[in-house]
Amino acid sequence: MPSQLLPPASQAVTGLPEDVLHGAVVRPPAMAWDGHRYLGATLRAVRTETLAGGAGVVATVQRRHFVGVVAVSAVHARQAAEALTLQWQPMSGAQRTAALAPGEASYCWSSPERAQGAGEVVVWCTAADVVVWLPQGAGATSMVIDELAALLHVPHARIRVQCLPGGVSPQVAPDGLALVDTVADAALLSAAVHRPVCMPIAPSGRGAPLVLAHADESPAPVDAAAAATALAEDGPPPGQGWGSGWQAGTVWAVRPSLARLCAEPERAFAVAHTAVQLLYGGPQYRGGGAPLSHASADVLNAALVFAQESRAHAQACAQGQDPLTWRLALTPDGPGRVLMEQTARRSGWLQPHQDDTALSPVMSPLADGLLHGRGFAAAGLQHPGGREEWAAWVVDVHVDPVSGQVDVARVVVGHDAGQLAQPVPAIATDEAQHLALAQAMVPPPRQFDDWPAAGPLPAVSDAAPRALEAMSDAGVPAHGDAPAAPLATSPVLAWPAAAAIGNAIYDACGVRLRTAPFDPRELRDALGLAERAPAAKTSVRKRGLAWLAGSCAAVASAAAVLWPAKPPIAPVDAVDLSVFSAEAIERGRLVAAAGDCIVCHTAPGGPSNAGGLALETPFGVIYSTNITPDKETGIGRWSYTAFERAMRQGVHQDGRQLYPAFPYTAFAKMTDADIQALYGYLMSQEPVRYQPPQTRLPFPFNLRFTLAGWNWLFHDDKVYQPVPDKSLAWNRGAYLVEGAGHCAACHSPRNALGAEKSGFAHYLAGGEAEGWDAPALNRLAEAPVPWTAEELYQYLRTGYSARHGVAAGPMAPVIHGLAELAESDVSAIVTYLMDLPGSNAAVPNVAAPGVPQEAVASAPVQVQERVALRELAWYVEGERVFQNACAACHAADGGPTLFGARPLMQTNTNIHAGTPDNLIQVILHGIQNPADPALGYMPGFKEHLSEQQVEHLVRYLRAEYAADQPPWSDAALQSISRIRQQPDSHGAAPTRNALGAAP
Amino acid sequence: MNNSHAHAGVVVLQVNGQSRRLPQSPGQTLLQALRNDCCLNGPKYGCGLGECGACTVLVDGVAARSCVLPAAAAQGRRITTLEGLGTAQAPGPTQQAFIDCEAAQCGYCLNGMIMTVEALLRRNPDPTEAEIRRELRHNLCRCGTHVEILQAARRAVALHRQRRAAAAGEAQ
Repeated sequence: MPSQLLPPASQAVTGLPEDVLHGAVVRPPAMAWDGHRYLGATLRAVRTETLAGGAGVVATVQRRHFVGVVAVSAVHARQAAEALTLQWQPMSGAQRTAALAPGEASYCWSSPERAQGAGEVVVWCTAADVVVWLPQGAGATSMVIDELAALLHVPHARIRVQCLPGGVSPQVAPDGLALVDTVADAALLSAAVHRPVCMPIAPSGRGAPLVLAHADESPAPVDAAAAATALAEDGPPPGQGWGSGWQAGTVWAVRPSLARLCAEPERAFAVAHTAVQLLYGGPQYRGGGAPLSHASADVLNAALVFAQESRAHAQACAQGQDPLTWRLALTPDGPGRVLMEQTARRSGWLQPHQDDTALSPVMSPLADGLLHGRGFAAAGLQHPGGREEWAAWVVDVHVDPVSGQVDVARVVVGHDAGQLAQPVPAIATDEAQHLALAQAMVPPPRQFDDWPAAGPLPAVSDAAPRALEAMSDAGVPAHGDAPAAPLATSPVLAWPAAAAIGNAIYDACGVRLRTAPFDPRELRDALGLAERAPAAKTSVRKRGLAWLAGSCAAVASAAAVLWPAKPPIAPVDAVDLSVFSAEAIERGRLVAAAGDCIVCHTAPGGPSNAGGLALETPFGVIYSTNITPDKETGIGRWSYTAFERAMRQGVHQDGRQLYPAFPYTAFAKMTDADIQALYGYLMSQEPVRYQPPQTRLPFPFNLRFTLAGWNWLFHDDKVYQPVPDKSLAWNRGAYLVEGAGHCAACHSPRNALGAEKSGFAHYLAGGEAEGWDAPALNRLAEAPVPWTAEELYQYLRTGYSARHGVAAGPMAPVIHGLAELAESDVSAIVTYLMDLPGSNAAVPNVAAPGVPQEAVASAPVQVQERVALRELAWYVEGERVFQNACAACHAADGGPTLFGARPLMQTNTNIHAGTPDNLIQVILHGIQNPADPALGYMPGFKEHLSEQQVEHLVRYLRAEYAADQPPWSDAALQSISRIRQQPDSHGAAPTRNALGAAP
Repeated sequence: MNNSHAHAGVVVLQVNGQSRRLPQSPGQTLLQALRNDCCLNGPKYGCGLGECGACTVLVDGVAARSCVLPAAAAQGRRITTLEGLGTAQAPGPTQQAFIDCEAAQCGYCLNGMIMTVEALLRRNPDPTEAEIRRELRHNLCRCGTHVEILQAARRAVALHRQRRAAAAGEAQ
């Protein structure tokens, strides 16, 4: 078929061009697919004026439900894509019911979380050919070529794949489907503009599990008939035959790229499908759950085997039969049956001289208090050409009935690659690999203080020797026939692992786990083991005495009596760093990044972590200290005990109380493992000899011992306790927010004594930091410009949300720290923050009292107000200032295209905020240290605009762009002079230009 | 993050296709680095606040006001100045259009006008009159040469088109 998108061939591309454009796409709000056609939300209408293009837009591309933007930079592309106004037709009700919820009799398969392989792709659809540049080591090249050929209707020979030059090969290869999706998006965009388009590789799906329901336990697929008809009419696409095992109406197929689903919804055929042998009675399963499976054929096969083999075991047990016997009775003669028998015999399940009809598993004795169980599972694959490949697993597990911990004690694996004329099943012998496969199915429970990028935990290694020993005890031959295919290349071998372990767990304790890989927590819950209830967050003692906080002097005197000075902890001559593994130090680096140590402990322009930053507090200036391991000026002679006491109690190694400007109130919530890792990291850094200025607060705040009383009143040194009825991600987010991240230090209000106000209403209800207003985080979804989870994620990840603005001031360095953390950590923070219940009581100035929102929002009133505004001197003057000073970058009607983000005032969070402080900060000091240089810079206007001009400008912006908000009061605008006098600590002010004046 | 790749005291810029190692002083703007260290005087210092556009250069093909951009922020990016569009002997099409239309009086704003038109045409080879005006609205000219500058921008569109047609003809 000739391409619908490309002009005829004439010239060929040689190298990666310099003028690469950038793309961004808008996905439908809900996507689904039945194996043949796209079933998700469809594009109903596009507001055409939004398609006209904002700053930097080269083209807006629409093909059916595929919508994307090509622009001169990634920032411009994202901004333009977010500004598109699209109307979507939601999925119909019938389509929606096709998606399954995990049910009682269904099985779930969740692909393990992958570290994100960063990188980008470039696609150039020229007249002659399609050239794709992928990151080095990206893999999946044939998938990419197949997909592009189908998407662009071009022959395979016209598609060339090359490596991106100058790139470092990523540590983690990107997920194959994510790569194909990104390339397909870039290709559709490039085909529209005939210029090279670059796109960052999209994150793969966030682990939506596949759900498998047995066919007689769930409603039949709604559109099975329609799908079958469609299949009959269209037939499979050329070169993509439907293999055996494919059933119309099931979704056991690998979807094409999202771009193809949206651009050609009627021709969204599967690109691959499951080929697993359907045992014990034919096709029985259909999938769902994830509205759009993000799984390769291997994952789908493994999920199907897990469901099939788990259910076989359950049915056999329900009928009171031995699971293996039950299987053998239903399995026809052939290599599969031979392998099952042989593997069972080798494992000792079948006694060598027993008949197949009188079997019982050999149960291990219950001597060590552990529950022992044994499970069996098998899988077969029909290769193209008729060759059959089989694998069978027998797994022994130990279940700790106290903790719910599952230990894989022994595995016996049989594998028949079917490559010999005479079917001779081979017992595979690569024990270490099999154990690793098995153990991947029972990962150690994820904890709220796991750091995903910190590498594997060492817990796995000590299980292996025991297991191998057990295996040799059982008399399994150490060397059998070598398997015909290399084990590493045969996914079939791994398929039965999950079901065999699940069956063994059921055998051990009678609990059927339906989600693989298995979560020990699920087993623990099923066994009725409850985790220790977490302690109450704030003890009664502290609540009861909070009234004391009124009088500083009273506290000081009481403290002097009740709390003697803390003793010094003896300095150490040298810290033994050998006890810290590379993993621990890397974990410490991540803890330090999450805690933003470097931000406060580095003076402007000074060496990292050497201290000296002046922190303005209501009590005076506090200078941060040197936390490099220098022996004289830093913490080089601090023992771990001293370090931990400082982190948890706020006490210096020499016994002095530290001021709570150092947020030990939050750091105390960190686990021991994290504080130890942090110590290891800090101590392994380069020592810097630098004595920061001494902190000298006025009386009575210079009496450091009084802080012991402060601590007694306000400091809760309990380690974070996970909330049992919340998800792991929620707890992880809470731990990061409350512990290392110390978000509340800025985002919670403080009382007269500088302590974060207690009580739920005040928690993250908005605070103040270095003259900036730290917005409330407990009502993000109800903010004047409401946040969505996706917007918050983008903001935290990139420092920029097109709808809310850029991270500036003290928040910009926080984004730098977050950039070091794994994607899952940032989304955990989002999960937690978006779940905080809104509490408008804590924020009285959300709306002017007595003014109904409808009256403010109605259009006629606004027009009338506008007319009146034009007669006000401050409005006219403010508009004049805006046109001169701001409009080049912030014009509402889309000004010129300039480097960097161009935050629009209409939705800017600072203009809709309760106080004008952040707006004034940005106007006066500019943005000299953005979260990402690509977002651009803004000059400060402190020396160029008079106080009156700034006031007019601020009033104008509020009236013009936040008409639904009450004007800021005169009192609020007083902060202009205060902020003007404040030094800008977050970026050196640019020196006055030395180039001379304009003519 | 933004400082991590700027080694202490040195900033490496890719200017007009050449790599330049420059001494870095804190707070130094890209404009200062280009004029003082690279001796490229095409970009002009006007307001120093990103308001007038006389200092415009291209950063990765996008117009940027170099007086408000720290030199360190341009590290690793492709910078094109007026000098990178052509020479006096062989001016680029946009430069030629401004010469043809004699679109200058004092000429101080011309660097910004030419660079902004160049950036527009790289992105959009066939802009409408409204798009040209939107792009140039915030480049200030104090002499009142606006009519000639708009003429030059329209001529630049035509010259770029001719240049592309000629290149396509050679390739055939």
